[in-house]
Amino acid sequence: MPRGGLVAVFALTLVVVPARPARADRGTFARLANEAHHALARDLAAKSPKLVPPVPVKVTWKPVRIGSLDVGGALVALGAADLDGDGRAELYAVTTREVVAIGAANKKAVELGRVAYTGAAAVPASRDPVGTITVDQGQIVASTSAWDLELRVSRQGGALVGQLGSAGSLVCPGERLLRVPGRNHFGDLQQPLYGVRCAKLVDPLGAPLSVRGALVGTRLEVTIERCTPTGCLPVAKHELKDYGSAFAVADVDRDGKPEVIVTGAGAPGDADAVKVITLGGDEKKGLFRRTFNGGVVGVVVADADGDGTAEVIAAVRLAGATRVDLWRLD
Amino acid sequence: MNRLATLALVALAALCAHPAQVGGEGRPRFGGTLEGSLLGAPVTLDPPLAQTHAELTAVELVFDTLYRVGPAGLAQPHLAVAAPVAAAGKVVIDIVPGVRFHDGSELVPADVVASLERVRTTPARWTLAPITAVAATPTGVELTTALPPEQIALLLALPATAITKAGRAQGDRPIGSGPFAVEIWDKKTRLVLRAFDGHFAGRPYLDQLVLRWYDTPDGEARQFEKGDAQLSSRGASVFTGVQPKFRAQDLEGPAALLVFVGFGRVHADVLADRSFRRALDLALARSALTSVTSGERVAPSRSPLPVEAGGPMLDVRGDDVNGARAALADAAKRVRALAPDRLPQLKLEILIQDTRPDDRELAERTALALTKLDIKSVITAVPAATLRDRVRRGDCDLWIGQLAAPVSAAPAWWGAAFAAGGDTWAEQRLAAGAIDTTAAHKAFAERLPIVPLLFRAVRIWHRSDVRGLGFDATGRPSYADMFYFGDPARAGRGKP
Repeated sequence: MPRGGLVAVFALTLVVVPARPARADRGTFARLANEAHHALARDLAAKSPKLVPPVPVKVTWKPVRIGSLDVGGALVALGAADLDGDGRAELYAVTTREVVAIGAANKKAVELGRVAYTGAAAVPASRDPVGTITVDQGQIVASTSAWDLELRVSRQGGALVGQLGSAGSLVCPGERLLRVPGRNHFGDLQQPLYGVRCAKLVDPLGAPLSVRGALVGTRLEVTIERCTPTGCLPVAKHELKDYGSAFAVADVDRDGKPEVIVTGAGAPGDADAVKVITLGGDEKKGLFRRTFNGGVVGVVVADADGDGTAEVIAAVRLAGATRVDLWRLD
Repeated sequence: MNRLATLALVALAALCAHPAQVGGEGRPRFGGTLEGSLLGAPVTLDPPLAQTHAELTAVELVFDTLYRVGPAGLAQPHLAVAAPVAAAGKVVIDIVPGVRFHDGSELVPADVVASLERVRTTPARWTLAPITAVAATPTGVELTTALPPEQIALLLALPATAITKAGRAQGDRPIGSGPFAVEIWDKKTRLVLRAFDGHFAGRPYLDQLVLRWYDTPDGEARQFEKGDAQLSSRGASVFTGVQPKFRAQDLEGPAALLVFVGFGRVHADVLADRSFRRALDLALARSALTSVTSGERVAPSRSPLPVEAGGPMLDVRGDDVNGARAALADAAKRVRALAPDRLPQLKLEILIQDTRPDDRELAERTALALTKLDIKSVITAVPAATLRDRVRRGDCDLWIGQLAAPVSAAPAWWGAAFAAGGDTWAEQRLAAGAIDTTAAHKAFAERLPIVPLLFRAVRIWHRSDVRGLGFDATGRPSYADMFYFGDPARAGRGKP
């Protein structure tokens, strides 16, 4: 609650609970209390944002391979953002060498451009190349274990432009982590943190939710917070076991219940699967499941075709390959 | 509906409800000790002096080179930041800043210069023969050479050019910058390596690596069969059909290991004669060498150049005894000891290393070839250090040796093969520029500094929970990339 609100409540409290008068009038007191209550309600209603409940959409799961691209290096992260402002999100593939922009409109993936990493190589690097991607202040912020500094990618005059950012990995807006030197994870040696994903969603009533998923070992820990203009408070926590490093959090069907899109926890190079699970729902059954011969190296939920509804897109590759297949799952 | 059909329906329903577990892009985990093997005891871990597959494997784990040969046979930057840059008759190479040795000190350009300069004083000097000067720059090194940058990078990927601290020779406790540091080197049985947290290319996944060698043909397979080792390069079990404790999978690398017969100087007049060497070469029944294997690919060869590097495909028809006898007769014109009346008194000793059991069989085939020429021989198995010392002193007649090089790098094979026989032909050609393959084939056939026997691959049987296996272009297992994932599967009734 803002400070002004607290002052108002305190003032109203003074009105509601005055010093006992010499001759108390029960009717007057009740009338004053009622007026104060309504004043408080009006005040709070005026300060709260108007809640807009999400409109559920019917998701038809129909996996389609939308393209196969050689990204020129080991793909370490996949993200999406509409940097060009055309109403359709572009995909951004982070490799150990570049950030590759990919258009996925019209159900066909096409490369839009690349920005190369520059600066100093990370020493020590990670034998298993890893990376992160997030959107911050209208820029793609990509980091990989191969380079010291993150790369911030934006569009300037229609062209992709990269500039060096800070050390470490911005895993979510406002959350920066440092990789354990020489290794493929954050956190510590006993509790390796392999990845963090965040999403700003709304609950069925339209109240803002902040969802954060963190993969610790093979355990996916998802925290849901309900937010007001003054801050967020945790309302639910979910733990899902035995999942892989590619995952995303989103509300795919717009029903106000967050979903996680998870992949298998098998060894690199083994066959893999994408599974969509509603948090708090039937984890075993899930909403959707699709297996792949290759490993799923990234999943992203984005409105790539600009129809107002986000799609689930997965990047699949064979172990060690620089060519990735992009699959639109719905 | 009968009972069988009902059961089938229930099973089908269960399968639909619980789809098969699949794997994925889980991350490799850190930790654990892995017990593997070397193909014999290493005598030295000093990069320029390393020769055998075992030594080269260990050197790669403890030291770093400026470049490495990638899967396509091209040199890729390793300690170097990028490919060499040619400018005005010089080649400039920048090195990755911030690289540390195992003792914590920084690897600087002066270390690179000193290491390369020392190589030029060792038997491996042929590797740097095209380079006439080495100088440090603030960020790397500058080489004076006429060779194109891509060929320089290939030579600087050879293990002999690995960087040591201040270019110093390495003894029993080598200090490198590689992914593993030497913890224990018991010269009789094992080399114990500890992961180097600060390796510039990333800490290896394993905490500890124990590499053993064996002096019996079945020792290694027995260890694996019992479950006491996670890897074996000599089969999964001692007897065919017997299952190891844990299910085994296998992987084979390139056939980048050349086994050859070398020549000593005890009977110097005999052994130095080119016709005698040719006689031995022709008398060897190479077709029979294909059986000297634990399951790995073996390619008999008369050339020191593998097919991948442009070597000829061998027409394996066995020996050519008549040709061999004719060559021996020619030799006898110059060498009195090879005259028919003196031949019964000639007895040659074939030295083998006692921790390379396959070498005995190869020595027996060599002895058989000598028998065809009416020359007696005796096989002597000695410890690796003794073999190396006696070969260095020339205190033997024949010896079974090994060479390993990037499988498609022809200059490396020519250089190594001539140098192993103490012949400077390839070194001189390299110093003058590139080696012409046709001329090299001709010179090798004339001089026979060594007699090639076969190229072989290394095949590794491993437990199913050991992942990340691979081989480099020299056929060395990628121990630094191996990791444990999940639990080992018990062997079933099927094939191992």
